[in-house]
Amino acid sequence: MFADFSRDIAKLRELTDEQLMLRVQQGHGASFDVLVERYKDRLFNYLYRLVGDRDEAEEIEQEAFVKAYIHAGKYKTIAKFSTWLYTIATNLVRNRMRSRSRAPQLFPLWSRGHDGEEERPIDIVDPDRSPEEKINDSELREIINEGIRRIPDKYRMSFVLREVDHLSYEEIAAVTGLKLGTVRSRINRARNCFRKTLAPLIEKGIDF
Amino acid sequence: MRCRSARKLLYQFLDGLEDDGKRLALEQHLGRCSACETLAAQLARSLDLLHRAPQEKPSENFSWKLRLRLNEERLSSEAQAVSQRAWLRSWNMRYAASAVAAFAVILAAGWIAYRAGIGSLGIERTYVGTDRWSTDVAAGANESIPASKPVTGSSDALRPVGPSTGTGWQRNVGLVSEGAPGRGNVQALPQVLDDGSIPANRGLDSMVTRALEAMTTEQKIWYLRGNIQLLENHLQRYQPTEPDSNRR
Repeated sequence: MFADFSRDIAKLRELTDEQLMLRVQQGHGASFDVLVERYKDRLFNYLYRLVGDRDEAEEIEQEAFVKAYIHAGKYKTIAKFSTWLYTIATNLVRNRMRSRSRAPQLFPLWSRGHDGEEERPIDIVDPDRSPEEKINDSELREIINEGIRRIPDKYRMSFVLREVDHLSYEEIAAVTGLKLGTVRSRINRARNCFRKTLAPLIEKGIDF
Repeated sequence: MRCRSARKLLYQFLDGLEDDGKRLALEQHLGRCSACETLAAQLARSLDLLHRAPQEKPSENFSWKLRLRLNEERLSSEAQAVSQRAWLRSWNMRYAASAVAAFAVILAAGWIAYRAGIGSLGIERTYVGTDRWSTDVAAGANESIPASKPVTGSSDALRPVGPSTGTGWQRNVGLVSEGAPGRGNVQALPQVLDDGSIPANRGLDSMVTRALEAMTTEQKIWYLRGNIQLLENHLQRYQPTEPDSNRR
């Protein structure tokens, strides 16, 4: 019985996202499990880069998958499943950002970058550190997080979709609902902002 | 090439532009402009760091938590669907009951209107009888009633004015349905007076002729038999001997 189940799952894994979604629409729950396994890490990484808090990112991700499952009937195969899922997740983040901008700040780490903050040098790495001393993973993680955090909210989403999730400009436009030209300019501004944050470390020649 | 154009081109190359001519022009500019060269180096390095950064993953029990949540949602949506179906069913029952009640009311109203007579619905009915007869009967004159010119009126004018002999206006409405007034087809039938005679009426004769022509043989037989029966009834009712014996 277990062998049969494993065989079924293996067969499902061979299907495309869109084929799996068609099966989900017909009430096949196991197909959705395969989609969750396929996207949970990618989506979490995207959400974590956006909100900067593990618990919150996980909460939003769960919400996104639940919404995708409940509204599976609304999904049409003309759109890519990944685009559809990212759109759901992005809208959830937007809603939270909107409500957070009205409410007191609960998560200071990922609050909106202040004006001119990106000009301030990054202080995660010890200034007396020798360039030869290699930066470890957790330090790199913090540097990257700080670099992304300092990108203004309205540029951050497009930037993460492009540089972290490697979506095409067209897909980003579909997810964010922005025009292609706007997406392009926002990504370039965000790249420049990110570069400025990391510039002192790069100039110092610290080995990553 | 100016710095502005070079930077624009730089971003295009980051997005995978493959143009050898433009690449050569950009490289030449970067070789001449140290600011642009620094910017290009920092940009490439920072993005490289971002791409090399370890991917963040959700907690190990994320899948289980999600599965539990999905089950909860599934159950609650099923419960919701069941309650919606139940509501729909009860609503359907209520709707059906209301529809039946409304239909019954319409039927009853129609029946009442029908019983009240066609005249009240604006349809004129021909009354075939004599006002003289009514007066005579009321006065107790039960002698044979002479044929006289029939009168025509609405149903209000047709109320029995004579003694309750069980006849009244009903007996004079025509030949087809003696006991069922208001059938609406009396005008098309020959008039039979109280004495059972049918006055000459060319218009009526031709109508009856046309009606008979349109009938099948069976219908004609049925029609004529009915008329004979009615005529016999008339003759029995108006036997001149009975009132005389009562008087004595």
